[in-house]
Amino acid sequence: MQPRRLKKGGLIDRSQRLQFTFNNQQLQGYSGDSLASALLANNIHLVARSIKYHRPRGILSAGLEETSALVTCKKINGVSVVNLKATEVQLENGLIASSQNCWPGVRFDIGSLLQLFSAILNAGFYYKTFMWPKAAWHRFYEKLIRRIAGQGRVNADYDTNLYDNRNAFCDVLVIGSGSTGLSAALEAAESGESVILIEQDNQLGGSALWEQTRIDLLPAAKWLAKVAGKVEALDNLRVMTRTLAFGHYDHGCIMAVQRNQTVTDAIAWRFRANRITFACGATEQPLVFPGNDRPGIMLAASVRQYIYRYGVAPGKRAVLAIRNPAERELTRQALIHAGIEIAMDLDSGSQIYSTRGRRHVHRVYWVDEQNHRQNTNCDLVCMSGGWVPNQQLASQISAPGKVKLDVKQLLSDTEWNVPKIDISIIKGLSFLDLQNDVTRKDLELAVGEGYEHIELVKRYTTLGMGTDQGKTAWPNAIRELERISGRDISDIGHTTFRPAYSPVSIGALVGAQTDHYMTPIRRTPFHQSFSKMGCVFQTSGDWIYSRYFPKPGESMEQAVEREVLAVRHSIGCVDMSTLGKVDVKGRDALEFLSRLYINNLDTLQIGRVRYVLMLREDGILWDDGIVAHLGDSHYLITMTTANAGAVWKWMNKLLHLHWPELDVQLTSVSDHWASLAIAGPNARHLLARLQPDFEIDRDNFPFASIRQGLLANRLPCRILSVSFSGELSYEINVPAGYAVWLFEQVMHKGVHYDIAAYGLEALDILRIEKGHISVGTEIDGRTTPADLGLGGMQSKSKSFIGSSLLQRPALGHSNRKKLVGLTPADGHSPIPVASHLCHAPWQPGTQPKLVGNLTASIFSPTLQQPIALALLENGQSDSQGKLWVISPLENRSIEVTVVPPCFVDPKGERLHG
Amino acid sequence: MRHWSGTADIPMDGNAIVGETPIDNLYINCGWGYAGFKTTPAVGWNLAQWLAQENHHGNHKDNTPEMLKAFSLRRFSDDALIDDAGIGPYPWLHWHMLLLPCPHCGNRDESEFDYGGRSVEMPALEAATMDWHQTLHTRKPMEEWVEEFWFHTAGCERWVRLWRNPITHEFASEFIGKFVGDPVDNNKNNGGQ
Amino acid sequence: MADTLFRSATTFDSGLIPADSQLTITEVPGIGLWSVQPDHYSGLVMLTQKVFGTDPNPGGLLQDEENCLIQLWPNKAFLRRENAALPESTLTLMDLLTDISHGFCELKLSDIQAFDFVSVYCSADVTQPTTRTARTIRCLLGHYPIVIWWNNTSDIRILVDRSYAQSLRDYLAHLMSRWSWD
Repeated sequence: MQPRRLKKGGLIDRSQRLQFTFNNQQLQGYSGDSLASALLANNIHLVARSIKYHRPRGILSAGLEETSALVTCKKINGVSVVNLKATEVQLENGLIASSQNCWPGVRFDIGSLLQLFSAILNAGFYYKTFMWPKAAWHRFYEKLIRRIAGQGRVNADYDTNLYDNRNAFCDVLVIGSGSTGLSAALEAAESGESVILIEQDNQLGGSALWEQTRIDLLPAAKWLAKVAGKVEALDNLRVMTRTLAFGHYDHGCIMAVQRNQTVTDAIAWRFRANRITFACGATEQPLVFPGNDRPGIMLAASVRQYIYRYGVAPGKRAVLAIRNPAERELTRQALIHAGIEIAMDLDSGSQIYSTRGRRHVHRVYWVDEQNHRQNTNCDLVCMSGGWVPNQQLASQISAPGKVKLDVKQLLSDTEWNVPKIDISIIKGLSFLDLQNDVTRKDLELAVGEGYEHIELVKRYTTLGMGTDQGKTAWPNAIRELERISGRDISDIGHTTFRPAYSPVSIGALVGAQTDHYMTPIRRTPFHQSFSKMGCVFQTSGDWIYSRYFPKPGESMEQAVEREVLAVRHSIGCVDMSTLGKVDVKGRDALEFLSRLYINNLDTLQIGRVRYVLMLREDGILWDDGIVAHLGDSHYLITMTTANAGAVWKWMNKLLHLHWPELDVQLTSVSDHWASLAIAGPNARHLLARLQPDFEIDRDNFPFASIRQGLLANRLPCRILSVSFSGELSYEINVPAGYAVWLFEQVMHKGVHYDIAAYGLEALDILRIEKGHISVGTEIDGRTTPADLGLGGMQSKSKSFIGSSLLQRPALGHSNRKKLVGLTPADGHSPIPVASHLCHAPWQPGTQPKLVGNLTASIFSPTLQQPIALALLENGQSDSQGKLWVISPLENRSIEVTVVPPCFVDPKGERLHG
Repeated sequence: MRHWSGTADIPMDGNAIVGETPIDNLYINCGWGYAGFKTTPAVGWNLAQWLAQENHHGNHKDNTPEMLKAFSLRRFSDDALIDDAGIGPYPWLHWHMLLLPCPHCGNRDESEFDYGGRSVEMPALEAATMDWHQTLHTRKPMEEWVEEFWFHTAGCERWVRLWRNPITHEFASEFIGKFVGDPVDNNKNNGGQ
Repeated sequence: MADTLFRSATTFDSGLIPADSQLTITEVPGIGLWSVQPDHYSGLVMLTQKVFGTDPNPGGLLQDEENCLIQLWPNKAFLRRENAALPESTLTLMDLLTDISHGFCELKLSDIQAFDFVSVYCSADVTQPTTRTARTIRCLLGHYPIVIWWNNTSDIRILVDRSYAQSLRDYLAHLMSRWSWD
């Protein structure tokens, strides 16, 4: 059934047989297999086609350095994932795997015709081809390239896997559980430190799992068993398998991905450790000879792993091309153990100059030390070009003063490789980076064209840029550059190592932050109450805010018009809870606020409220709000919803860093108070029905005041007589837990006045009709108070934040853009939103001289006509004749009339109603 | 995922500086932050045209190309600044991997903090315009240690003054002025090098 | 429409917690919370002596049957009570206190794994010895700034800004779907 499976041995569980398919062929393997070992057990070597030349490819290795065997896999009940390395896929029952980048199939692939063009498809070919004729690019070349390029086809279905992001902290993080890692972890844990040991394989042990060597005088397997017991017994040593460290960041931070858990597909862990031990082992390097990419040509240590760990014989008759004597001996033993015939054991003086075998290697040609040419048939080549330590993860962070690794030391085990060969006898393509089809000739081409620096070589040839990040490519490439250029490898250096060490799924990085869990959402205390009324909400920054309250059958326009007219004619209520609110106490409270705002606050009596403006340090208007004088050295201030967070930080910054001598305590009470404004000619009547325990007539509770007390003898409240809508209005503040009760009372008692709850749409219309400014529209980061007609609020007797730079000449120019109101000259044409102002209608194709821009444009339900607010050069004093609002987007120009920026109740009589 | 380090020059209003300098015949085109790639064709064309014109001597203010007028160096001290809030680059964008030392809470993850700019002495509110201009708009070149302000938003909610070595990422920090309580000894077992 | 004044809960159960979850989330209703902000350390000492009869405990908790003082800031502390009425002992210290009882929501996570669950989502190490002793910390849980405090690790309390509370509660339930409870 599995023709290449050894009768016994291996760490697989032969009692658990698994079914899987590969390219629609039903196959079997065992629990403990990787997809690669199961394929080899079934004598399947040809699994892929290379990216550019579509060369037949097999399985080179047994680990995550795999460069050739890229497949698409789908787990049972899972999603299809492309570009997985067969050596990294854990075999599961029901797994469906298939080859990529080939058509109609991996055995017979039309794409292999591209090999006929290999001479022109070398490195950087795309910079020199597909240029003629010019028109052909869009019509033909691009379409063709898009079809051919790339590896697997991504599945665009919704990913139903579950992922997560988690944090863990420890004294010592050990990466890698080979003999070194295990020893280090035990030592640290036994000395009392908290230790986390992570291992990317699904078992601890690293190569001790299969190598027939001795550790501490014990056979590796026995040593491992002994150590496993000790590890188990230590509470302060936490082991995480299937956990691959992929990124090394500042201050002891390691990012890793933990895969194949019961509930989640992958968890991205962020470790923070006082010390990190990198015990990441080493990667065996291939040899470079023609056709070294053929299926059946494998790394020697990987062959040993397949034999001892998986109980698989990857061939019947093998050629060994291994320089290191100890490695050769181990490999020989393994092959004998597996019953594989040794056709030839090449010594270090021999050089392979050709190979044969289109879909599988079947003959190797070499020149021996006596210069005789020989060959033999085989179906397996075990090659080893030496070992290179895996230092990439460690060097993703450069230690101070040391940017690159010592390449000589790094490649010391590969000394006898490339430089000594005789190029003249080679026949065929010798591959350096198998995944990107980069050959020896490509490197020669790159250097010949002047791309000598290793970083340029990488980018010009794409060597090392694949999913394996060149783990089996760049050491040979450096040796190759040494041969071609004659430079010392210490001069050549290596490319910068960057995260990710090995591919990480984007799902793992996203974790649980999908859909609306991506960012926190803020709700006001009235949210549930509004929801029950069928309120339509909208997002506004972090907040979900009431937008409008449609009655059954109403469109948005109808609802909003009704809400606006209700406020103008009777009464409406709106949620103001999102405003920032800060409680300010302390001996220096008044001094602090005076420095912060442009207004004079000395004269603000207890119980009174003032509309205030705050500038940036450079004099530009930043925020508006109110200051309420609650009591002795006690104030309440508000900030706009949008700027609340920034102003809070700013106020603290001033007190902590710049004015620490001031005695001021700030408490954020934004969420503590729910705020509902009732607005309209009947506002005072409604307020009376709520039974406040203080006088509310015009004399006792004038405009711009604050009162504290109880509603209906029960509900503690603070009420401010302020107005954003321009109507008589009271902002009722109650502790947020009572918002529901308050709203019920207001709506119930307001039935008598046909009260309408209103939201952001109506709120905005009302304030535009009144010419009240708001952040993001008139306060746009370029305007000063004077620009908006509020220069009168500026105190002349004190300095405040921004007062100095406000005096810069340009901020006082008379021809600055100033706030104006606009109405259509014909009285009815809609004014296009977000448009510009010009003294002539727009001619298509011209660049008109712009003299201003709109900040708001609506159809006013109160006036039954379009109106707009705008910033216009010279403001009301503009004397350059007719004015147009121009919109190239809508291809319209509307003549407008400049009017004062207040369309309803310009004298403000309603506020004092 | 990936990280690079180094300095990107971005003026305080997020827009580049193009045009004349106080030195005759010396022009600058800089401060593009990471927006330069897409804008240099247009700006380069305009600047080259301007420089190639005759009458280089004296004040070019009359024939400064329309497109370049707003980028003048003089805008910080005399004129109104451009503010492309939300469009231009921000000098304070960064990536959350660092461990910052809060004098009160100990070493904490960068995500708990908000950056607050280079450390500056705020002039008196009534100080001259030029003093405020210098403080707000000019910076000395970075030395071995950069001094800056950070707010521990998700921790003790205090502003700290921090010293940062941009090459080694070593840090030191302190509170300024008075605070009420003793610092908490939270520095053990909290990561760091 | 109720005539009796009632204080509403901030959050409700959205039904997102997986059926097999052993962890439960509930909201602790009606707590009292005050921000204690003296201008001198002596003010804080005065308060802790009056209420608890001891000196302050920087970085940690002071507790009696009704009151809990959370001291995680150099210049202020939170006084937490099971109900919204201030203790008699503080009535002369009113100028030190600002009522924020309605500004926060306290969520309670109950299960033997509650502490382990919370610890992997916090931006700070809550498992390290000083924090375990203090039994309180202010940090981020995901993107939410929170205060956590506990008397035993199977009953974890999270204080979060009221406006974020529902979002946090839903997010915690969402995270639970990624845990295996066996």
